Amino acid sequence: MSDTAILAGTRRGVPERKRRVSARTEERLAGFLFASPFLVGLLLFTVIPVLASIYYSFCNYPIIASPKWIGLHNFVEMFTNDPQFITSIYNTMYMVVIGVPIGTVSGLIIALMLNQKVKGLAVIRTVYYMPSQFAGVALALLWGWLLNPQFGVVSNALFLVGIKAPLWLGDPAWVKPSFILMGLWGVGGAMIIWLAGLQSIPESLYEAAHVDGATSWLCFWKITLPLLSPTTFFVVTTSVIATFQIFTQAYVLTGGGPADASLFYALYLFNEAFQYFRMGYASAMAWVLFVIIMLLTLLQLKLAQSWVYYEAVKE
Amino acid sequence: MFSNSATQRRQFLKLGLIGTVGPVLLVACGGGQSAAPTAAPAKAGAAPTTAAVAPAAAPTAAKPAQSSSASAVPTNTPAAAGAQLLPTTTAEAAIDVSNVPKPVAPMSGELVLWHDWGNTSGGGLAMIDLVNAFMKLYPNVKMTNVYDTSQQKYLAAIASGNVPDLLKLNAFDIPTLGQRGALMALDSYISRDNWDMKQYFDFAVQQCSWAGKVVAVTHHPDIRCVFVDQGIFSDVGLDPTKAPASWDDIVNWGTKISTQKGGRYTRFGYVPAWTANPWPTQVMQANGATLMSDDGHKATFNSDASVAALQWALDATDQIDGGYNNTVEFSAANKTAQGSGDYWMFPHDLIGMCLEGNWFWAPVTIVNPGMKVINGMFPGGPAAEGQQFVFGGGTMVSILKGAKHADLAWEWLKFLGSPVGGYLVQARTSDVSGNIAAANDPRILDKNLGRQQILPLFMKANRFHYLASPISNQFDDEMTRMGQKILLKQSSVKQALTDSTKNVQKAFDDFWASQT
Repeated sequence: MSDTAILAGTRRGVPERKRRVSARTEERLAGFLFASPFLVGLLLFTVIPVLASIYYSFCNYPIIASPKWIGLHNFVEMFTNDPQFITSIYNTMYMVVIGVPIGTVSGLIIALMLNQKVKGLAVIRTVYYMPSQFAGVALALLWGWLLNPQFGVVSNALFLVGIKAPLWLGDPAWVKPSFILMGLWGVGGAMIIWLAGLQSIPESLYEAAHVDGATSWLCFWKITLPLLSPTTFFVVTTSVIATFQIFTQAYVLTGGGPADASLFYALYLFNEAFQYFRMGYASAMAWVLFVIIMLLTLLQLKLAQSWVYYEAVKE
Repeated sequence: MFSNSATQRRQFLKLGLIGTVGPVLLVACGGGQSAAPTAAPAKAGAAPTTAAVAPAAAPTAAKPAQSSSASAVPTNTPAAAGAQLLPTTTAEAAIDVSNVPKPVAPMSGELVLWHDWGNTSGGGLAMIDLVNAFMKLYPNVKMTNVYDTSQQKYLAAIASGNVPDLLKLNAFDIPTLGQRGALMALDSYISRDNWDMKQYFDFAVQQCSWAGKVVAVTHHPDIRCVFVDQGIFSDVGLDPTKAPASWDDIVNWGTKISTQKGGRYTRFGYVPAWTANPWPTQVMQANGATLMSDDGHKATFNSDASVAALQWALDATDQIDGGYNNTVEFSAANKTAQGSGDYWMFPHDLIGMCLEGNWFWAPVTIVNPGMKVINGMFPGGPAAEGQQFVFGGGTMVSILKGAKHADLAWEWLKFLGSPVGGYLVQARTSDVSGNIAAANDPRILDKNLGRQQILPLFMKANRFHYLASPISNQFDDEMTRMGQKILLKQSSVKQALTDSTKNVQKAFDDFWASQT
């Protein structure tokens, strides 16, 4: 055998028919190998904990001792003998029912304003969007100062127009509206989605409508809103889900008070798990939250069929 | 083109929705962690660990090391020489090691200590000193100081069985973890080494014990007592040498002290709700109420004594402060340059009297060292007339069950609990060591403003500020909830008490049922 033949054999390695795995399988394996850091992480830190939490939800599990199977007891207790659970549901639903529409409409109004052709538009859009990038504890603390009943910016602004500011976070009647107000800080995120939706509406539709004598309001009502319906659906659905998980602001600023007025579902769940060592009960709460969110999302998907307009489909 | 663009947009929105909903649903069922912060929530009302308060002054006089020190430590360690034992950053002085406990375990190996005091101020620096001093005494011991522990972190460690050797805890954690079997009983070590527990304040030993066994060694105990601003008392014509002796005194004097300007309060005489921990726990006990049955299974605080105590607090808030809302407004209005809350208001002469912790001397030292203050016990209410109260709490260090180096950990606890360790606890902070000799160390007494007058009250601590029960966290939250409902007048005192008793009893029942 010549050197060339030997080299060729070496280069090709084992003849095709003797290879244990096909090239396609090899490729798949390589793919899995490259994806494995993510897959292993997903398995260890998401899939297994999720599955474990199903089991724990049927257990008395004080974290530092073994879980004991108690059947449906956690779920029964939740709905029949836990006033804080009901309070947390009420507080969270308040945020969903009042806060989500306000946030959604605010985002749309800002997006409509920023959809005009004015000078410095990019800068203005950036300014409106930027606050949404600041979140978490820092934002909560910042709002704690802004809503200071005595020398906060909001209170002083109200004072200038002759209104005595409430105690905001210190008043059970005002603590939830305060959190809704805080939520508007992050409306820039929704605004970007609205803007994308607005810019995808063909200009020709407005031109045709104007030729037919339609007013701006009619254009908005009959063209903009219907064509924004997929965006509306997206914004509302994601906002509802996010609002169900409101946690940080209440955790940092009020701890659920005053008198449970800001005891939101996720905060109560956290307390049960890590303050009261009732991980089984907290797991059950998490699954109830999952079911609530899933049902609401399915309901929205179902209802969307009657009001969400995908123009491509209609055509 | 139009159709294609619309299809892409639709796909984008759908994908976006799926991408957002998917992870969120996973988080909702416990798979994600992003919703919760990693740091443990600050326990409502937990005593500050002095991080912010450490007056930087080093002891004024260095006490020379005694020659007898050599005999107290193994002769095979360089530390036996004793003189310049500790890093100079600790106290700029030589430390007398004559009282350093003689080790019983072989002094080599590795130790891991977990706490949450950080490494930049007060308690965190004191921990560094303690660790460094121990390693300097025993060079064959390597100690790791983990200073950013959170509650979630140590719970995970305990659950997994991979625990640190030593864990700093708060007093209310002892029953919580003790009853759940997470803490190692130290009694066999104590009797083996004939370790004298009388060197500590009684209440500090009590709060380090659970179910009749010692499960921790005190780091620093603390007390809640009456603080009186003598300057304000003089201004309004009250006797500045007397602390209130009854609840009537508090209301009458407090009303006299409170001032208003333009319809807003500018000074409060006393605010019942401004205590370091949930106020109902303390005020109910001060009127003779018991919180739970002796066996710890029944909530007993729904009593006439409790009703009277809570009603008094409500009435006092109305009379002295013009109602709860005024106290919230006042608190918001009086954020000082140093910080907020009555902790910083007191040295600014904004409150005449308060029931607060010994750490209140620290802001006085920083803001207004010339301020004249007297301390006293909190007077008993009408149902506990003639009695006086001091409420104890504190921090301690435990060995966790499953610790890899329990024997060595015990040696560190002995060091912590010794006069030398006690000195290091106090050298950079305003904490009071649980070791009585260390607490009375002249170098500490001279350094800390007010220490001479508050120290005797440590001997008189006769109640805890918390419920010594495995459900102490639930109880604390319930007291906060009940207190707010009463002060906000959302429900009557009786109704609030009934509701809270029901909730606490449920927590008791759940817990004890889980133990069977």
